[in-house]
Amino acid sequence: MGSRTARQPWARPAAVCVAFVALLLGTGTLRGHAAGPASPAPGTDPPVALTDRSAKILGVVPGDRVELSATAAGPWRTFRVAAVYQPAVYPTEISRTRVDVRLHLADLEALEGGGDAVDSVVVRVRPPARPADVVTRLNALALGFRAYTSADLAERGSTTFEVIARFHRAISVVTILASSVFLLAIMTLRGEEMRRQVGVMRLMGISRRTVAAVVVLVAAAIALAGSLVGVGLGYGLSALINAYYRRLFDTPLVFSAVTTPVLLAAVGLSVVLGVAAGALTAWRLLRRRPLEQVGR
Amino acid sequence: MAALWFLAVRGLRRHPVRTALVVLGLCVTGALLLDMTMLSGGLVTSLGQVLSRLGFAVRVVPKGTLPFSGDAEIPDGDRLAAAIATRPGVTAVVPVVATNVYVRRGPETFASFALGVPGGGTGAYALLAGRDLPPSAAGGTPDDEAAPAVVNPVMARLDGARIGDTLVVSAAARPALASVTSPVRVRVVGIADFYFDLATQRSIALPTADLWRVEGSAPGPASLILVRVAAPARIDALVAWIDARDPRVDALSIRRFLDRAGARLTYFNQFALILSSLSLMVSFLLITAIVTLSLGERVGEIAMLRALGMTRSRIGALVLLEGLLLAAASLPGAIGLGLAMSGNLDAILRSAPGVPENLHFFALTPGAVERTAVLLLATGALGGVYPAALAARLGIAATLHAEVLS
Repeated sequence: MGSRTARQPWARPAAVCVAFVALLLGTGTLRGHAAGPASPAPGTDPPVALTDRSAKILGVVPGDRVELSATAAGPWRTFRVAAVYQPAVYPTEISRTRVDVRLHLADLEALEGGGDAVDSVVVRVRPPARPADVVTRLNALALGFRAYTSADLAERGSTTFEVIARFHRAISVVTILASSVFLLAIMTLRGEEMRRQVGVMRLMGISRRTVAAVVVLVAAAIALAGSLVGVGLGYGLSALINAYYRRLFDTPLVFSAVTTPVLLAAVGLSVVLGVAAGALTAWRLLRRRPLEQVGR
Repeated sequence: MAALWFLAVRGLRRHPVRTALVVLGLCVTGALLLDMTMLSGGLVTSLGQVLSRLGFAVRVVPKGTLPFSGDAEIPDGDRLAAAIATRPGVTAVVPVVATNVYVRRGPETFASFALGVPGGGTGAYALLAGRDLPPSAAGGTPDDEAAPAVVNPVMARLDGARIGDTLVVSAAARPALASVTSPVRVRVVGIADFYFDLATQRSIALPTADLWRVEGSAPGPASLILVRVAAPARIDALVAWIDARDPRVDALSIRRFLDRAGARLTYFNQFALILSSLSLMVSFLLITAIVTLSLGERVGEIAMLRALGMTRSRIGALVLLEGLLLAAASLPGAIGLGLAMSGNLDAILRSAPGVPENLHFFALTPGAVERTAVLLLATGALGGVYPAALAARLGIAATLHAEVLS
């Protein structure tokens, strides 16, 4: 889609922003928009609808005038802001900093100097017709377009997020590896500290199994305490990330979510790793004889 | 200083398992740090490497865009290119038209990216086999002749397009629409590597005039103008001149191009910053915790060293040195592991749609390795500060007395 420019005639030059206008010939921005602008009365400027973010960027309210052009060099045409609406927000569109403007197709064609062409057509299917069947029939037509069901489009659009999720999972494996080594190192030190204590326990007649259970419990407790602190840090970091990116992109979207499955996985994994580190430490401790452990 | 080194190395070697575990942990966090340093700006670095290799110092694009980022065109691209060619220091100007077309080979029709160039040898692609395009004839190839075309290896591999084959290039997918579009018969004369192609993207280059015929558009517009400049010192002046001459375009030097591209990649920079900070924090905690805990076992030894005349500052320096040595010992492993991990992480990210073949998210540069080494060593030293302060404060008599009693 082409770049187009919007400007407000009386605004300061800095505010005469160079904006990319998501027009009807754009990338499917028909989705989820509010009721369209009213039809123009003869002799008046044609109407446009702006998203709330776009209106904020341009500093306009309903009733104001804006100028639109297909190119930065003009020619400019004046439009009336008929509506400001809150659009449905899609993660795929989050990084776009452009101004979104909706206008009647005929007005857009006049602005572009073209006509009889659209980028996409949205089709609502009346039951009992099945979208997949309609898509098959449409694609069988000898015309230069390709039809997709909403599910197909959602799948195509989410591929990037799937990749990012896989990347995050790979990073989490690395952090789990690092924390496992950290835990093992701490438990090795703790084991050294407990050496004498374990020797005394063994000399008192406490069974190897009980001693091992104590060491494993200590390790699990350390891991659990660490994971609880980690959960707190995770909540804090998540809140910071959401606050920062919501402000950056001016959107209500949630960027980071600490969900129950994530919490359970993190705490559960920590405890499992703690038990494993404890078992290893207990094995290393109990290899020695009790007298050796108390330094004799 | 030699004594400090001796004592520090000896202290670490006394508990080999513990030291090995700490070094292993630092290897993992260091590897993550290196990867995040490579990721931060990796795409921009990789893009810069490819751009520099192509040899075009300036790219002129429709205002506010990046090359091939949309359908926007420079209306009088040919005229602007001719004007740029008259500027001092300019050695070549290549107006390029880019669009999406359908290519028919026998009964098969497939979508392809098409590049219209004035002729061969422009540097807009690298010829791999066959011959290059001849100079574009005004008005295009005569109707009764097949226009020359160069295709990319993907089209050759997936669709079996060979040198000498005849294809039909059209703006519409179906033959039924041929009457309202202008299909052009082309003969494949060469196979070339088109820079920034996607993994499964088919690309075809043909003379500009023939592509205009396919599009059914009037001659003149260009999607991009590539400019070669003999003297790098003239680039800024040329960019300023183009910007001033035509308000509808942006002249992008490689630096300006990378800045504009980098502004669209904030996610990776911020993600890298967050994870780098976390890995540094974990490294710091690991070193501080282990050195502090191990200090508890050695208070008697430290008190003895103090009693033998070692000053508080040297005791502090000894503990700091241990932290530094731990970080230094982990560096080779961290770099090796980081490089191994970056290959896998890069492969994951490059599987995202719309990532060109030649670009990488992780770029290994001397700067990235240097930054990682400095940060890791600094973290090692910082991690030793707290235990060093504890060690330096130890009272000789009280500590030795407590040791004897225990």
